[in-house]
Amino acid sequence: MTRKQLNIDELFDPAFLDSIKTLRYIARRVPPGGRHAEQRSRDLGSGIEFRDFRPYAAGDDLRSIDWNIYRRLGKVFLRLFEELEDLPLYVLTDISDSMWLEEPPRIVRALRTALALSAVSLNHHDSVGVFPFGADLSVLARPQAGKRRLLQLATRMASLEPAGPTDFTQAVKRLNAYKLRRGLCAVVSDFFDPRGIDAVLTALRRVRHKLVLVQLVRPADREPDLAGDLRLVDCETGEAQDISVTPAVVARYREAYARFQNALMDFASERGHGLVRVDVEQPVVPQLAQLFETGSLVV
Amino acid sequence: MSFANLGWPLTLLGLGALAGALFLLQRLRVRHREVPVVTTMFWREAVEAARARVLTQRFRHPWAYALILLIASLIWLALAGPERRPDADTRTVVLLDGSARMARGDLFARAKEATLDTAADLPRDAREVVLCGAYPRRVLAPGEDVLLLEKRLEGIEADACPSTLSAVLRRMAIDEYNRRAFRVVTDATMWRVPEGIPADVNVARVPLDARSIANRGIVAFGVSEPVSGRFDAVDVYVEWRGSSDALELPPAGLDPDADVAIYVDNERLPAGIETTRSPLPVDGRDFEHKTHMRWFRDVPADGKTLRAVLNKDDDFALDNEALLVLPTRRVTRVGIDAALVEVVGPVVDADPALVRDDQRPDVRVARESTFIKGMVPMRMPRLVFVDETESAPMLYVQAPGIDADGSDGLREVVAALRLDEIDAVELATAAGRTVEVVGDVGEVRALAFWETLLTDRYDLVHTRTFPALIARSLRWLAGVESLAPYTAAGEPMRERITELVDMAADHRAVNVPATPPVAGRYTAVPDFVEALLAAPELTTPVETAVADAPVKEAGGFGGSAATWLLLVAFLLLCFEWVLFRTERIP
Repeated sequence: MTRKQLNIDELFDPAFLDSIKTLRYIARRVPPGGRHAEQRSRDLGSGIEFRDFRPYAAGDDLRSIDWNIYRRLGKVFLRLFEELEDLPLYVLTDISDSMWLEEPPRIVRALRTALALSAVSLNHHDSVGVFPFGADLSVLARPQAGKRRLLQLATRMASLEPAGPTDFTQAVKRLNAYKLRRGLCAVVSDFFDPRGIDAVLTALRRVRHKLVLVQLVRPADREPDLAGDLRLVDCETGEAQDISVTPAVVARYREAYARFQNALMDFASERGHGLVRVDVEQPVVPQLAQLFETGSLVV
Repeated sequence: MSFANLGWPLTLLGLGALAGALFLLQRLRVRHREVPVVTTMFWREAVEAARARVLTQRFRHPWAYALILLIASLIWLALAGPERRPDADTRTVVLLDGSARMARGDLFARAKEATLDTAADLPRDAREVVLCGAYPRRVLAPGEDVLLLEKRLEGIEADACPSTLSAVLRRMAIDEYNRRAFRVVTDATMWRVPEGIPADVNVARVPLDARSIANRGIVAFGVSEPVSGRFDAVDVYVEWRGSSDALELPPAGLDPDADVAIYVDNERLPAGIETTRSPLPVDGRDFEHKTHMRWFRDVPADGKTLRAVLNKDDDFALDNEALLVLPTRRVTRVGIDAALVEVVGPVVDADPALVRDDQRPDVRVARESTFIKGMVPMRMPRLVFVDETESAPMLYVQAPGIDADGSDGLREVVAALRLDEIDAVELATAAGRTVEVVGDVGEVRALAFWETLLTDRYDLVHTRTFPALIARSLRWLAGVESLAPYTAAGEPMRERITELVDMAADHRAVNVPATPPVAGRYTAVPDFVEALLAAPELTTPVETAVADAPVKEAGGFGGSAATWLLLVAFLLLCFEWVLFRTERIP
């Protein structure tokens, strides 16, 4: 099995970046505690969007007193505005062995997708952290903001190596252990965990962030072009499966794959997570546009 | 149901082996091509419901196994050659004709091949093969392998004997305790189903291409009393027949030996012996076959061997030559008492077989005044005329082997003297008393008549019967046997020969004339006998109605059953292919 050697030129090119300038995330509410940015947060502060009134207390900023109310009611109230903070984006990129197999490998599209999602956040001053995972999760880039970080991310991504079998359980466990501020977690993966889709979904339910699932697919996933008596070797586990490929077996394969897809779809639908399927044999950005239907993704 | 090629045990063993082998094959892992994939979890789910044939895993496809086992079993059964026995108690007997008529060309070799083929198509446990040669021999018993038959028939040739086929068939067919069907392998042009076969016995002829060939052969070669009246010579008679194209005779009056040559002890017949032959061929059964006869007059009856040889060979050599041992005939010397010379002397003088010799007689003619039973001691055979007393019978016979009670031996003597043809009632009336014939055992032959028979009272001496009575009596006393024209293979011999030393012990009979089974030379008692293959139908085959006999081709059900089984197996194979293509079986 030959491994794909990544090249930064495959991941980072100006045309690609220009195509995603118009995209943005819009968070309904950003968890409190973030730094100042462009996302609406639950914090009340110095923003321009009015949120509420509250009685004046000693020490409050006098500039926030609503004098019109004082004039009508004779009581002092403060006008409260929502604070604009950043929405941290945590990109969990699957770099397990399965992402490196086949031609073209999913890893290229996965990293371009991760870079695109990161670019969207960085363009709006949000912090982006990149966490590649396979058998375990690692930190490629800590959550930080800054447009200039995009090239840095691309450079680091180009140096990634296959990381063994997919283990969502371990990856999520590790992610949660970092105790990151709640934000948007984009999972870019084929979701082919040897333990099955149930293990994947169980792990994803434990993620404490808003999820955007980007599933990397290819037509052969749904319509395998195999025939004859084969010994299928799982590239991640090495497990062999002997099959005699017949139309009936292929039909049952399709049914199994459909159940897998439906389970992922149902999970995203029930939990309100975003899900987009990216065909690795097609350009990434047009497909990501589905996620940003009106140019923005509301999370 | 039985199997032509395999027995029940082997067939069942094969089926078991097939079932086991296919079971193992079902469980064997097929050879797979390795393909790396991103995940196998979907394939794992897909094959959980229809797992491929893998070792040590659960046997998941019993129907597929049953189907392939059924197909394999059908093919195996077809190879085993199933056949249905029409009647559990019926055994099929293949009768192979091994007689002389099968010796024409390669007919017997083809008959053996046909016998092997026929036996191979019959159920192993319900078949037997009998070779009908000089002696019927069972060459394949029920249950034996046909390879044994092939081995046993190696080197066997047709015997120079008449066919025993019909006799064997008749004897076996009437055995009600062993029901049999018969397949007859013989020359169809020369055989028909014999009379007396029960109607429910199935006799079928195995098709045998018997090409008719041109042939001629000796059908009779024997001796007779000479026309010249000599006693110490015989006339030799030769008769041969042949199809018209094989029988080319020289024109009458040319070389008389051109057609047949006679040898005496390996030398040509001495000159001076008159030979005659029929001027024209005598019509045989049809115009195709002509009969020719030749006589050789006054050949000395000195015990030498005569050999007749046809001068033209043909494909059927067994009847081109015949041997014959001439009888030894010697004139009997008769001594006559003076009292009887007047009456008996002229009779002796007139008989060429007798000569008067009172000094060294072989037989004495005497007169006794008193009848003494036993008439011992006697040194030579005697013809005695005694007084007609109350104790004296009309005829007293003394000879070795004569039963005192007057049984068969005495009756034979009376017949030899032709006394059984006289009017005994008239004789008794003339005698005024009971006419008796008494026999007695004695070492030397003797006959005693009433002397009064020679008187005018009975008017015997002046009749033509008297010389005949005297001549026959003296011949019997001297032991002169009558001539046997010839001895033919398959036909009973002269009565005095009851044992041929060369015959197999199983085929010897007691107190009945011996029958030489095959043409050839036999050690008889007391001398040798040449048996002639004398069967005109062998030499001149005539088309018979045997073609109308029920002909049943061998191997009817066995072949068709195998074909049907193979056909069903093929259809099931197609069915399996359809199931495979529609993914109903792996």
